[in-house]
Order: sequence, then structure tokens, then C-alpha cells
Amino acid sequence: MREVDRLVEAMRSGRISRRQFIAQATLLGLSTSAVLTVLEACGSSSPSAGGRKTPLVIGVDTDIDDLDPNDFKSDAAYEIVIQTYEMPVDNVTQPSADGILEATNQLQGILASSFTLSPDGTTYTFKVRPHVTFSNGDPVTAKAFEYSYQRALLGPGYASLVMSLLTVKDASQLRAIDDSTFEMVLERPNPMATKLLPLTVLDVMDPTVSEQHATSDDRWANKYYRTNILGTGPYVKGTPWQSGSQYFLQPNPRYWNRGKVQNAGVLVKYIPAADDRLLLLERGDLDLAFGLPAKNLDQLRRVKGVKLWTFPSRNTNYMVLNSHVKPFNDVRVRQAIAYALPYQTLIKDVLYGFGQPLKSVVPAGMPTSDDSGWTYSTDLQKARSLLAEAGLSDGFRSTLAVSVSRAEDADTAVWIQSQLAKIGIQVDVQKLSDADYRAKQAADQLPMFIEYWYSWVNDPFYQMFWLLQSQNQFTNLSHYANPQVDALIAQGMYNTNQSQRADLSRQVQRIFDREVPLILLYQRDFVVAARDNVRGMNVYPDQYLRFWQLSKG
Amino acid sequence: MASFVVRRVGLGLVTLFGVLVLVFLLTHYLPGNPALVKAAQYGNPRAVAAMEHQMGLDRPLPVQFRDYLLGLLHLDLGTSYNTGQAVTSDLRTRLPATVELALWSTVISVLVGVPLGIWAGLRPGSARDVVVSEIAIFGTSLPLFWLGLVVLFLFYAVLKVVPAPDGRLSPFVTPPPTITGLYTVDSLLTGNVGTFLDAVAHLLMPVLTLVVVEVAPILRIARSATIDVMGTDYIRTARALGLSEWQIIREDLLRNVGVRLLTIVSIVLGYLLAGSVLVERIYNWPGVGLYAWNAMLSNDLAAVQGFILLVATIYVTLNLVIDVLYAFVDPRIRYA
Repeated sequence: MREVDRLVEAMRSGRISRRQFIAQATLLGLSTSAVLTVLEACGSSSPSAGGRKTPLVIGVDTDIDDLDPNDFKSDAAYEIVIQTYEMPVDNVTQPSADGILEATNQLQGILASSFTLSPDGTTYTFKVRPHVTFSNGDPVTAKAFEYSYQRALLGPGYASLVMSLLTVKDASQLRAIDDSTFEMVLERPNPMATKLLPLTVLDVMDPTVSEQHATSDDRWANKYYRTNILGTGPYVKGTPWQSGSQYFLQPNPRYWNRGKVQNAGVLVKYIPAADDRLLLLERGDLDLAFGLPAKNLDQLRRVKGVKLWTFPSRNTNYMVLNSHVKPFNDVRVRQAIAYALPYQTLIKDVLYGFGQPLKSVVPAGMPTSDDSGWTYSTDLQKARSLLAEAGLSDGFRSTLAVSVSRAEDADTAVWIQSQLAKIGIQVDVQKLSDADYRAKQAADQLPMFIEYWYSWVNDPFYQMFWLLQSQNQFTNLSHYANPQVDALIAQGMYNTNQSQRADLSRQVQRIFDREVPLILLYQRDFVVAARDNVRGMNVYPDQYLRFWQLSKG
Repeated sequence: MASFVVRRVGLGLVTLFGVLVLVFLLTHYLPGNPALVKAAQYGNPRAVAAMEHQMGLDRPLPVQFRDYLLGLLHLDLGTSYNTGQAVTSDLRTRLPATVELALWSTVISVLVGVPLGIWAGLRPGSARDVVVSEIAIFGTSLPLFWLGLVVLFLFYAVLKVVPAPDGRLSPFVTPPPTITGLYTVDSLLTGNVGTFLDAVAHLLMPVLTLVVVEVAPILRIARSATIDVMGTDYIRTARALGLSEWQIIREDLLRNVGVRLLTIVSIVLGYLLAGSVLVERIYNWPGVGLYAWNAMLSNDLAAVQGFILLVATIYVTLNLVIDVLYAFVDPRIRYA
């Protein structure tokens, strides 16, 4: 990679000609598409890039499993989908003082050149941006918007959940008025709509090709889209594209907004071992490394040439006490445990400082977050007396399960085990494979376990709906059921009066503080490890990087 | 001879079927539900049920087994949910990487181990024999995982003389057109020197790691076979007839040692072709070993079954080939 960089630099500085560049790049074994991409980028007159575009190499911790925008998929697959498909609208970004591009709550048209909301707050009208095509040359029309939103509503995966939260329940609510106008009618005014619309599960897809690949068993051509990419985004599949190894995202030659792409493509390398990603980043063989545990990030603090971009995050890390299992149905036991845990130690020794205390079910950074009612700091005396009140002064024995794939959870469990022993609760830590962990969780066989949640939608009711609403059996993992909380969430969910909404949110938070259905542990920071010459770092509500903004200085 | 081969092939097929049944049952009785892992955070009963249906987990076990067998007849091993691809296609894509690693390691181990073993065996008890024996003990006792990490640290992190352990080729280097699937061979056949050198550079660390461990059994067998053969009557007779030492080695020793080496080399090669899981994991070598590692961690049942079936097929085939080769190499061997 460094040889390639040197070669590019030599051509830019005029030390070698274009012809010499091609000859030497070919000798190095560069793929034709890579050579052409680099040449094109070097010749770019984009003022933002200063004609200095180069490809980047990113090491990821998961492989690509499914490229269908609407389907369940791995983190790596999400990253690829985000770079290759687009939605009608997206968040506006603003550069901060240190050059970070931060997504705001404002929306801008992407595939929609403009959009309006009716005065009654129920009808979104999108005007389709003219002259935009999919990467195969098919034009983007209102029909494509209609098809894509209907696919999200009725097709594979969980995009239907998003449509349901938008209050779109029927395909008749989604309609192409003419070739360039698409209309979406909500059942009611929706304060979350502007946060749901930029989600990548609402990508625009090509109806013509979809219909060509649809079958009677696969109406939405899910099989085709699992392995093929056909979007309007800044990148397309390039060469090499080797399953299980590496994937080159090549700038889309048909992209309607080519000026915004700040690099000459991105090579995504699947490197499963965290230690290897760490080593490659240290040595400069990777420009960015994803999915590094806190321990590795701490090591990188002392490495010259590497920069850690640390952003406070709404990551919600917590311990679940299963309310179906005695004695966790007793609020005093839950409170005792909340008083016993070593919160500061977890942040210092498990997260190596890459985290903040979590003091409300609505985490810091989310509107209406209010930690004033969270009184739980480490106080073993108080914990013992609460246990005694519950008639458990001799303690009890239980099992704390963690998933083996989350190393930090295992470390957290050991600290919890040691701390709970001090108040007489003997904990056996059980490390389970991912599949076993999820199966036992779903079968209600785990009394205590460690979990995390991240709301892609920065909204308190979205967060509380999933974590606390009694009907959500797959996400309300402690099986917490409080009719008052359910009612408050229902009242706040679609309430357009911000002040009333804030008040309802605080009411739920106060009940949560009293009843502690979940033991809040910490908010793990969102950290990106990169070489220090990487520019264009960006933060979006979903915490996935937009590659087109990245460049090498 | 023909009936012997037919019988061996038949036995091989029975063995494979046994493996198939065993693996199918074992993987299905492993604890855990992969559909729930896949559905992840936003899972709900409808989504999980759909996922189970898509993965075929909602069908009765005998039906799943029947479908699996029917699929096998069409070389359909199911779909890996880790990669979203057909397992057959995944294995076909990754097998050349493992074969390339295994072949180079075995060739170098034989080229190093056989001469060294014979050299030591010709003078048992001498200083050189002691040194060679120590090397064998050293190689046998080194844990592969530890050795791999040491090699990586030394050659990549400290000395910086090898490329990054991030696959078979450097970033942006395009693989040569597929002829054999082995990059070193295909790049040479297509006259692509740059790619050849890059492929060789990427092979250095994993091959070195495997050779250190693999050379030990080859060397030991070569040494002990040499000692045995050199003590036989026909060697004494050859010496009495005035044949030179070199003639004896070439005409009598090598051929007799070869029979015994065949067994150990086939075992080592089979082991490596089955995927040196640890080595592939350490060096991010995109072969079937790394594929199996990831599949096992996530209960990717179809992928695990496919991998084990591939390994079993390789072992059975190698054993079959070796059995047949014996008859050619050593005419004294007779099969009923």
C-alpha cells in the first residue's frame, strides 16, 4: 500500500509521467479498475480534494453477509449499503471546529430535490431529483420511491418496523403522483418522522431490475439483492471483490454528485482478529480500523501516527435482571444491586476511560435525558440494608450470562461478580456462544445477563418504547411490565407538543429510577481509530462512517 | 487391483456417509438458535420466524436431513448465513488459498526434512544426528498458535521485512486470471511477475510457521527409516559388492525410505488441506480454515457441515490414493 502511495505522490509531483505510472502500477500488480480510479482521482479538479484523492484501506471486524438494504445484516454489510445506496432525504452535516462533520437534526434532499410536509403534519411530498440514475443507468423516478417504500413496508427484514413507527401501515399510503412526485401519507402527525426518514433501510431501489429478479417465492428479489448492489450512491462494486477477504468500493462513474466524493475509492478488508487490525493500523497498512476493543484503543493512545476520534455516544450498556426470576421481581433486590456495582471501576478498568456513566434510561445526548433521579452510586452499606429489607440478608446465588463475542461484557461480569460477593450475592459467570446466548435469552432461561442497546433514532420515546414497553418481548429483556409506563410511552410517542413530550419522558425516567428494571452500567464512547492523516471524520445518528467524506492528507 | 480399488472407493463412500450423519446430528444438537443471532437487536417473533423459515430451521429434523442429502446430490450444501453465499461457492472460492498454503508448506518441508533426516540417519548417534533430532523435538513441541504470533511479531512488527498479514495479496493488487486458483502458479503462467512476487511475500510467514512444525515428523520418519534400511542385509550385500555409498543411497535407500515417507507426507498434507485453522486465523489467510473458524463461532450450521464434509472427503481421498500408490511403489505389498 505504501508503494502505491509513493507512486501516486510521484505522479502528482510530476516526477513520473502518466504512462510511467500505469507501467509501474501494473508491475505492482494493481488492478485495472484501481489504476483507472487513481488516475481519474489524480486528475480531479475538485477544489475540496485539491486534486489529491487517494484510495483508503479500512479493516473491519465482520464480514459482509447480506447486502439487501431492507434485510438484517452485519455491521460490514451496513457500511457497504450506506456507501452504495441513498435515501430521498438525509441529515445535513456541519463541520465542527476540529474538522469533524456532524449530522444535525435538519434534513436535506438527496434523491428528493425538495420535500414538504402538509400543514396538518400527515403528508410528505417528495419531488424526485432530475437526471439521477441507478448505477446501471436506469433513471430514478417517483415510481422507484413508491416501489422502495412499499418494499420496506411489505418486504424482507425489519424495515416494516420503521414504516410502522412512521405510522405507515398500508401500501395505499405510499403513492407516485406523477413521474417526479411521490407522496407518503402518515396516519397521524409524527414527531419522529424526520429522524426515521434518513434511516438507510429506506433506501431507493430500482423497480425495473427488482421485478426482473422477482419470483413467486421471492416477490421482492431478496435473493438478488443479498449479493448484488444496485443503488444510486457514491460507490459501486469494484475489483477486487473477494468474499471473505476484501471488497473495493469504486467511485460510481454515474454518480450525480461526484464532487462530494473525497477519495479514490475504499478497500474494505475483513480482518477478524482485533490484534491484527491493531497491528496493521499501527504499521500504516490500514487507514482506519473498526471494532477495536477498549483495551486495544488504550494501546493506540501511545502510538505515533494514529489518531483516536472519540465521540460521546448514546450507547446504552446495562445489566438485565429477569423479573420472571425470583428474587429479581423484588424492587429492593434490584435497588440493592444498583447500589452495589462499581461504576467508576467499570469505566476505568473495562472501558479504559472510553465511556461515561449512564444515569438514565434516556442516555445523555438524547433529548429530555434527565439524570436527576438516579441516586445509585456505589454504596455497599445501603445495598446490604436493602437486601436485608427484602429478607435476603444472607444473600443468594445466581448466574450472570455474557456472550463470548463481547470481550468487554466478560470483563464487566467479573467485576460485577466480585462486587456482588461483598453483599452476599454469589454469582456464577457463564460465557455462552452468541447462538446459545440468544436462544437462552429468548427462552427466558437467563436470570441475569449483560446487554447493550443503541437507538439509531435519537428520540427518548423510540428508546423507551423498545426497552420498556411491555409488549416488546424481544427487546424489553427484563420483561418489565408497568401499565403506567406503557400508557406514558403511548401518550408521548406521537405527541407533537415538545413540552408535553419532555414532561412525559421525565415521568417515565422517574419511574425507571425508582423501579430499576435494568441496571444501567455505562455509555461506551463511539471511537474511530485512524491514521493521523485521515481527514473528513464524520458522525451520523447511526454511528456508521460515510466513506465519501474521508480523505488522506 | 481393480477390485481392490473398487472396494476401497466403496469403503470411502460409506465412511463419508457416516461422517455426514454424525455431523448433521451434532451440529443440530449444538445449543443455540442462529436465527436469533441474525435477527439481533430488532428481532421480533415475526422476523425471527421468517429468519428460521429462510434458514430452514423450522422444518422437522428428518426433513432437513433429507433435503440436505438431496442437495448434496446437486452439490448444494446450503447457504451460509455469515456470507449470504452458497456454501459450495464459499468453499470453492477459499479452497485454493488453503491448497496453495498446504502445497508450499509440504514441498518445502519435504525438501528440508527428507535430506536432513537421511543425513542424520546415516550416522546415528553422531553430533549431526543429535542436532537434527533436537530440531525435530523443537519443532514438535512448539505450539502452532504461539509460533505464529512470534513469527508475525518478529518479521512483520519488528523487522518489517514482510507484507501485512491481510490476505493473499497486497491491497489493490488484482489476482491473476484463474487457471489453477494458486496465485503463485497462475501469476507465473500469465507472466505477471509483480503479482507472483507479492503472492510469494504473503506466503512467507504462514509457510514458515507451518514448515517449522511440519518438518519435524517428516524429518523423524526419514531418519528412523534410514537407520532401519541401512541396517538391512541387502544394504550390507550391496556394500560387499563394492557399490559406492552414493549408489546405495540412490538405488536402495531412497526407494525404501520413500514408502514410509509417503504415509507421513499424506497425513501432513491432509491435515494442512483440511485447513490449518490456527495459521489461517493468525495471518488472516482467506482459506477454508478461517471460514470454518468463523462459522463455528456463530453456529453457521450449513458452513460447518460443508467444511467437515470437505475435510472428510480430502482425508478419504488421500488415504485411497496412498493405498493405491503403495502397490506401485512397493511391489512386495499384496492386497487380497
